[in-house]
Amino acid sequence: MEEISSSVAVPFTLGVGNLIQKESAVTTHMEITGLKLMANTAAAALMLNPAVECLKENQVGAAALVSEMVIECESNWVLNESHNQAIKEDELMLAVDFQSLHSSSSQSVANGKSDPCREEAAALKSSFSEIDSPIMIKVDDDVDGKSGISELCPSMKPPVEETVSVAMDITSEDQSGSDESDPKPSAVLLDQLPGESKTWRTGNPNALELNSGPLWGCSSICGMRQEMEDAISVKPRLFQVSSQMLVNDHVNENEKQSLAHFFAVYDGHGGLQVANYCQERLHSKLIEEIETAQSTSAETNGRGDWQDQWKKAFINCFQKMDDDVGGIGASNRGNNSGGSESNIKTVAPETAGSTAVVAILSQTHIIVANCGDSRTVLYRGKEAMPLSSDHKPNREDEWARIEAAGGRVIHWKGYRVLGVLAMSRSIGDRYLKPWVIPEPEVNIVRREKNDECLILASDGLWDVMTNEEACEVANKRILLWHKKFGDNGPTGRSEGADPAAQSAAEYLTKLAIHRGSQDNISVIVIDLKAQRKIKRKP
Amino acid sequence: MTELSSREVEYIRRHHSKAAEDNQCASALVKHIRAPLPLVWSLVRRFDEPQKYKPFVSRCVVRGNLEIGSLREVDVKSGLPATTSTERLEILDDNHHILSVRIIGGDHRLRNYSSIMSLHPEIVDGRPGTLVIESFVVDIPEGNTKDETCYFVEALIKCNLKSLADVSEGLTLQDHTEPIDRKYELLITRG
Repeated sequence: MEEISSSVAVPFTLGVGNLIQKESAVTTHMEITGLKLMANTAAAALMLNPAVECLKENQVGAAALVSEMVIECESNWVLNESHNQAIKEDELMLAVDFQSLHSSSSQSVANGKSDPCREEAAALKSSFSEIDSPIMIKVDDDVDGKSGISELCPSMKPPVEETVSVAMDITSEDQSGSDESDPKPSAVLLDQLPGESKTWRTGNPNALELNSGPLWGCSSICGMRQEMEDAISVKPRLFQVSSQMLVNDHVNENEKQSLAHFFAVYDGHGGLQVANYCQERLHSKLIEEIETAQSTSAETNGRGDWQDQWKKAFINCFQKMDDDVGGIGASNRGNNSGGSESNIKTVAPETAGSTAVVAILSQTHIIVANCGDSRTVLYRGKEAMPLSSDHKPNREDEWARIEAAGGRVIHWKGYRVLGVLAMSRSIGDRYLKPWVIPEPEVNIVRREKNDECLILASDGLWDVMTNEEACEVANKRILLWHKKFGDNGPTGRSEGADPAAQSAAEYLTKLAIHRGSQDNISVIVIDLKAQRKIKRKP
Repeated sequence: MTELSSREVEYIRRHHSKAAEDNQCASALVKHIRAPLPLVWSLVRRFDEPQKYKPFVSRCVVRGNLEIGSLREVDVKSGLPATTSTERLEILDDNHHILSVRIIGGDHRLRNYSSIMSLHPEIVDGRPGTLVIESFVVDIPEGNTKDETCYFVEALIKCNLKSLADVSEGLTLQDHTEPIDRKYELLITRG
């Protein structure tokens, strides 16, 4: 593995170097005023596949104007990029989105300076040192076999391996001298989707369930913060869920089971202890609660609403996590022998806490539980559907609940509980109880054939991007990957990340950095179009 | 405000009598700690290591020697409405156990913030304890009321004082096996 990784890294590095020289020459001949026009043209090019080739030169020009900053930024993702063409595409899309930053009046990131471009460049420059560090560590992990970040975030290990695998495939392709795949077949296949979907539906759904895991990718980056306090947890095929937990079918005695996949983002604050504890334990605790709910359901012969059972399971799960990190069980013993034991038993300081946004993906439903201000959004029929609601102190019902409990919401650099914490619910934060509670809001939606993708992310992403933007960008990246590599992609489903979804997740984190995000950024993207995979095979 | 004993009122009058301007708010908080005064003072007086008992501090660097007028750069943990604070040591009285700190910079909204902590010996449940009084005065930021400003600062100080109590009482338990005389001697020498 080490040798392969080393050999893979070298040619891409050289490629990037060559690209830099090339871009530098082009830059001297371009004008800022032309950027917007070419960006628009480039955007059109992305939509009209046949036009891509003839506009190749313009793409390079547009990309150049984003400056060496972007190129330098890209070079840090050498192992994550498939080849030069992909690099150019990345730059082009960044150029388009970067341009929209200045033209859009709805941008939440206000810029009062007279020279926004310069300040933006300065922000990019200052962020490089933060970006370099975690990425460098990751590269070392691959080469030297060190655990490093992988230990802190075990779920990150599979995507790294998957990325290397993809890079190897692309290397073979380059050596054979094959050109980029013809875009037309993709378009034709997409056009035939409505007809094909009927055939797929009448096929054996169990085959899909048994043979393929979820198509997921994730990316987590420290960003502007000094410390990384985010954590991501991805558990494909975590458990089997009985039909009684997905439908109100009292008559059906058949104990059907379907696979359920677990995804979660935890955004810690005041320390990483709570987010790490959730990453390690929350999914196991949830299984316990679900098994309890299912056995209760069996005892009562299926009476009771199945959706209430999910809500109860999640509420109990989050409460127990909160009790654990606060040392609730231990504190009883602590009272008997004094404070020392209580202090030793607690998992985290009383000022550490974390958000938790969890999505359970089953064949028929998506079940979401959220506590705090991370968020999950479903892209359905070209529309962004938030499946969670941020727990902000100035949300009307949250404000009322806090004040009814004797607390206060004070506007102090944003609305905060007691002027201190910018979210109204979290796991941990013992010092802010009873005003900050760990109770999740649970949302259950049935899956539909026009579901495109699902995004879970911390507020490091959502603070600089609208739901619509994130969904459109993620979906665009997934489609772009399949257009380029779909026909030559790895055959058969692996247990790791899906390269198209991985590409989308990584792109979102990079875009958030460009947008000036000031926080850790963690993103999970799940491609819900399983049909794309199946249609590629025949 | 909780009813204060005459003794506490006297301590406040003597050590914490700074007056607040119209655009400022001021307040004092009291904490009874079940730990002997020398131990508590050994934590409070560490101007260079507030993170020993202050839960919101992630790092602290003092410029130059530790003396009156010294400055410390405090890094604040995430989740709070600040990331850094620059603070000056105004008073460090080892005889009367008084510490005074003024905030002179940082990316927070606390302007002209000054605080005084005084420690006083007392008996709690028949054992040596410490009465800690912390008072502060600070400008009311634009957009906030006096009530809101006091509420916010008091919340932070309460958290600090509770943590000071937890740490002190934890250390007291660890020292529980030593004779009282010897313990006092060690702490005084260390201080």
